Amino acid sequence: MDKPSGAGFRRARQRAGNLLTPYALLIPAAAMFAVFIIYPLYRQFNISFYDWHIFPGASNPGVGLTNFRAMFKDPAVRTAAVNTLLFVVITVPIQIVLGLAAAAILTDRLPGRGLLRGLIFIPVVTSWVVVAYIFAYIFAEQGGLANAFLSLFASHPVHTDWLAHRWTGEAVIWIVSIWKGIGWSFIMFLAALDGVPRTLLEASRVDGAREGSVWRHVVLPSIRPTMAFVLVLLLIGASQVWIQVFLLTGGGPYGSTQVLLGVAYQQAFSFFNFSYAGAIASVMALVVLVFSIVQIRLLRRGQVR
Amino acid sequence: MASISLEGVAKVYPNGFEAVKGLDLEIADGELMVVVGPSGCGKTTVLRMVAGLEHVSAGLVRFGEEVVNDLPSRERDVAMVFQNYALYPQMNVADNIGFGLRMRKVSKQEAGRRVKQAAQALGLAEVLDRRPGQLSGGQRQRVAMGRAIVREPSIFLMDEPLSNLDAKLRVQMRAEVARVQRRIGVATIYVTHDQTEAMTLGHRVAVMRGGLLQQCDTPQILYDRPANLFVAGFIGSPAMNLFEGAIATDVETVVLGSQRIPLTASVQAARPGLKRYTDQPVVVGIRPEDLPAANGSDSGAVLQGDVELVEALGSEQLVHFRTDARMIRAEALDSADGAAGTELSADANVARVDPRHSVSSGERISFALATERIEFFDPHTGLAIWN
Repeated sequence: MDKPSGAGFRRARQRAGNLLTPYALLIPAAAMFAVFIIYPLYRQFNISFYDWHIFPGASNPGVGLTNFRAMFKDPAVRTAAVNTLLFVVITVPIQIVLGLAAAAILTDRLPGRGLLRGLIFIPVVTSWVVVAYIFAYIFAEQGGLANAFLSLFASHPVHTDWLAHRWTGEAVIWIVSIWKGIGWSFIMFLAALDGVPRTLLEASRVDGAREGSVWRHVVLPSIRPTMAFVLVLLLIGASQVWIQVFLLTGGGPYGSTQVLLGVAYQQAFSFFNFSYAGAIASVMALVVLVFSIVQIRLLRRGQVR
Repeated sequence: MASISLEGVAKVYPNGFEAVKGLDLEIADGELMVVVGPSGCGKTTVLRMVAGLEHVSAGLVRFGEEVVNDLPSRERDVAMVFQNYALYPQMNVADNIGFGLRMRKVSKQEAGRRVKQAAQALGLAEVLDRRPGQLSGGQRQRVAMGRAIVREPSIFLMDEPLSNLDAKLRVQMRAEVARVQRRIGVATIYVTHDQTEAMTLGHRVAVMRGGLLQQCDTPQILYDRPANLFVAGFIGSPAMNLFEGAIATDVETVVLGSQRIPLTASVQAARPGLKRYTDQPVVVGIRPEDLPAANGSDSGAVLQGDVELVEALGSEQLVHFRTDARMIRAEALDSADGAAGTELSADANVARVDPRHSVSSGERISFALATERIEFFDPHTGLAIWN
């Protein structure tokens, strides 16, 4: 008499099925994540403790922390670390400030703002290769637009070979990256500003606030979660800068504009030093992980009302 | 302290929509003016133009003698309570209330004192360090009021401040609003679509429709002498009964369907304009309370109807009835947010009958008509017929 009836049994099975469905649906994504992210991360971390060779059957002796120690003594790594840090410190704040400024201007009823919004976003979706070629032309020594423009203000024609020197090369890399990146922060801030309730702005104006105070006390606090999100994603992205360097200066001259990911790439695919590259990449991954944790914290804090 | 005067004020939006058309309105210092009307009538636009949140397309807005058309909001010394309260979510109650003082560079001590005082007056002393998200609807409403009054503005504006509250709280806060306004004693514009709120709060009430002012007067006069059909139908709950009728050749009777109702000499004297409507259709308006059940011995005018439904409310019964005279739907009832409690009366006529009088649906009832309380309107212009 205590036997589960047919219907009850079916119901119990159904309930178990309902509980399992979400997990079943997660399997494809989880499998991709495991194969293409988790395993390579583990493998890369793992081989950085060996003198690993890509040839099957070669001996891969364990070397302990040798690769990590070498990394901290390597002047190429040091230069690349400085360049990466400079890139982060310079491009991220400028992208945030200019992106926010553009968004603030283009939320107002400005004639032609739809077109302007599109123009600002185009660089984001343009291929890095195309962008690099355009800017290589702009900053070319002979017949480049930049030199032609500067010549207008100089007593003699300017012939700067922008990409052949460290600081001019760095400057070009920063300018390209900011130009290509602004559209993204712009779109994020545009959405955030659209979400600021209009009545809050009106209430503060009636309360006697000037535009500066409206921004300080109403707008900025309202978009704080977006600010945190944009900041951290830009930090993560900027710390992994490489492709524009690779395409514009190739890290030269003599590695003076090289960045960390560029060193790792070179070590792995030019010198087949996979273990050393793995050590560099592992340290970078650790830094990015810390950024990510900070991001989650900031976002959570922003959500508390 | 200042009066507000609107002279020929109009608002045309860039898409050509005329929200407000040639509005003239005077609000005396200390007066509470309620602007009421169905949604889209332009009432909120009027308020926003006075607040400086909306550009005035034509006409003049004056505070006292000063024309303020081009003065930005922050320099107008107005305080406003928004429909959704518009509290700053990141600030606690004290900072919300004190924000205007901070912006106007009032000293910290003085601001603190005034915030505390306002909070005490509004029963918010215990929640000063909470954020708006942690407050109940009624408390948020109080904070919004506190933020407005703490500044001691010279003009007080309220945009449907009670419409987000439940019915019971609304009645409670209505009294609170009246009390606060009396205390600060400055010119106030209060916008609502609720005619009950308008009648109970307003020193005077301006009824708007389609961007045009219909009538502006004290609540009692609006009720007793509506200027047109719209006001007649909008003010009062249940709404005024409106019938299609005709004035007989001798002006001594009004014809409602198959019934003839004699008009006394005093009615004819009070409304000489009726003479122009002999043998012509008019709209006849009768308030539900002017239709008491006849007790048989009445010698005066009688209106008969068939009872459709009886709603017993204890203090009175609402008798829904029909006659063979065609009913006119007051236009207020067509709007989505017409006055509360008028939903049923759109389909039938309503009389307020003494609860001791036994009435049941299906029976025929006779009402004792006070003919001097009947209203007459021109069916084409909708205007009340007096002279």
